[in-house]
Parts: sequence; structure tokens; C-alpha cells
Amino acid sequence: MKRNILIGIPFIIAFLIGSCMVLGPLKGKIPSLLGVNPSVHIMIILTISLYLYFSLTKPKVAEKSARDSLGALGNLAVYIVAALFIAGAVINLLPSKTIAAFLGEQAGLMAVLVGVGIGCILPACPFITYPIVMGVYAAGAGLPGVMGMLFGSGTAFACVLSCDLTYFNSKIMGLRLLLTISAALVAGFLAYLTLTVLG
Amino acid sequence: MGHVKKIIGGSWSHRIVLIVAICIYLGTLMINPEVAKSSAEISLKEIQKLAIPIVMAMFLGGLVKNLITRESVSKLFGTSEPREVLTAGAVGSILPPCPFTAYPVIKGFKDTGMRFPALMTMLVTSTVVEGPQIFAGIVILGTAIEGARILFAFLASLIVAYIFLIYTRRRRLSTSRG
Repeated sequence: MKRNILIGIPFIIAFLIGSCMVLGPLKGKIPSLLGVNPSVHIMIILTISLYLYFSLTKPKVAEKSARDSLGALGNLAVYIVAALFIAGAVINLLPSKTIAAFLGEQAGLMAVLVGVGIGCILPACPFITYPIVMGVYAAGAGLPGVMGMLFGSGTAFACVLSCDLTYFNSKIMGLRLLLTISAALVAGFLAYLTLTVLG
Repeated sequence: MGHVKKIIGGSWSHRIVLIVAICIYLGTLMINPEVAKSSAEISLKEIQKLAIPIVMAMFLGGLVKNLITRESVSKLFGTSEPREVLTAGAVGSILPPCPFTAYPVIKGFKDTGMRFPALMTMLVTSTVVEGPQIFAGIVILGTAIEGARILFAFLASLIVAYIFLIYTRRRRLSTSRG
């Protein structure tokens, strides 16, 4: 236990120094290949620090995590690229007038309803769904509609429904759908109210 | 055939994304090649910007998935139902977003005696809050939107969960009286 804490201290220090560097002297100087947001750079430092720490303290966990991640990456790479291509097309193809009418700021609460409705049928995987949502945002949707899409994302997706039926039953699936869509709508309305209050 | 399956995967629910992308680009290429070219350029720039951060987010997600086990969090559950719902909500929020990974864990909790309102709360938060998506969210959406997403999703899930708890308690009460 003490050994793990001792090993952890240098990694915590390295993580803190690295985070301060990307927020301070290195801000804006990091190649865009590593992302443009400083919080992304901090996340990269955190990932490297944690993997180094666990490879020393719990090598089996680090190895299994790396293997799982590589497996997921191999399985999802094509879909992630496809989703990013869809996002690029959405920006150019969807008429900004239509998006503004249904998902724009002026659509008000309807944007939340439409957003949750669209989100429900999007895949549960964030690496596929988020680029598409950001594509819609870039094409002219307002924040309430975008938040609605994010809250609703994956709630009625085929994988989740099949897991409901595999691990539980149709009664639980129906009830989960009702409760998750209600929660997504409540979250959307809360976000809408907050944005209205904040102006 | 084996290689094709390896590249495009075995899940039709995911293949649809690929089919939609191909259809959009083929259609646009035939109708307006300039728009297709511009869309592809935007996408390639995004891919270049997001490739390494997405890989890192996946690695971090993989680590979280292996560190959070049923055994490591089961001691947090109390005996009172409202606390059980709150803990179930919190635990559900940190489960991996993939249902094929999260559902066996939730089923494990149910099998160890977690009550029905807590089970539903865990299912709701695991689908709506999806805490481990934070890494993908920060990379793709940005910190502010991702932070707001998690905060509002968690609050709303708990509101719905406690309304459901009150409803089930009242129903239980009326059944025992009747």
C-alpha cells in the first residue's frame, strides 16, 4: 500500500506540472495533432500518467485496459471515421434555415423535444454520436437543441434495447425507455431554463 | 469475406453509420461534387485534429472500465431506499457507456439484492449520464458543453428516480392496504 503511494507521488507531481505547463507557458504552442483544447492536453497527460502508474503497481490491469482499448479502437475506427465524415457533410448539406426552425435558439422548448427525439435513435457510442451532434451544431442548431440531442443520445438505440431484453425483460425495457426519455426531457428543460436565465 | 467483416465489424446497428456515410457522399458526389469535396475536406481536418485525442480518450475509458468493478463499489450502498437510489444513480453514472459492458454489472447488482427503484435508477443514469463519456465529450464537444451535459443529466435522472421511488412506495402502500 505504502509502496503504491510512494510510486504514485512522482506521477501526481508530473501530472500537475504537465497540466500547469499546458495551461500556462505551452498554451497555444502544442501541435493541433494533439487537439486544440487545453483540457484535452490535460486528459492526454492524465492518460499517460495513469498507464505508467498502473503498469508499475497493477501491471495486469494496465495490460488488460490497453488490450481492451485497442480492441475497441479496432472495432470502432471505421465507424468513427464514418461519423466524422457524416458530421462534415451535415455542416454543408443540412439547410441552416430548417435546422434553425427546429433546433435553433428561436425554436425554444420545441428544440429540446426535437433534439431528444433525434438523439434517441443515435448510437450509444459517444465517438460516433458526438461528431454528428457537433456537425448539427456547426450547421446552425442552438445549444438547447444540441443539449437535447446529447441527453437523448442512445436511449432507444438498438444495442441498448437488445441488452434490456437480454439481461432483463420487456417490462423493464419499457419502463427504462419511459424513465430515460423523461430524464432526457427534464435535463433538456433544465438546460433551456439555465440558458434563458443566463441570457 | 473474413477481412471485410473484420474491417466493417459484425454489428448492423453500427454498420448503418457506415452505410449512411457512403450513401451521403455518393449521392452528393453525383448531385454536387463541390459540396462533397468541401465536406470531405472539413471531415479530414477534423479527423487530423481528433485522431490522437480520441485514441487517448479510449485508453482512459478502458482503464476506468477495468478499475470500476461491482466489488469496489458495492460497499457504498446503504440500507435505506432513498440512499440506495442515490448510490445506484451515482454508480450508474460512472459505468461504461457501452450497454454490453454496463448491463452485466447492473444485472450483478440486481442479483445481489438491489431493490427495483434502485435498479431502474442505475439503468437510467447509465444510459443518460454516462460519466465515462467525459473523455470523448471533452475532446469532441469541449469542456463547457460536456460539463453541462453531465450536471444536468445527473440532476434530471435523480429527479425522475425519486419521483419513481415515491410512486412505487405509494403503490406498495396502497396494495398492502387494499
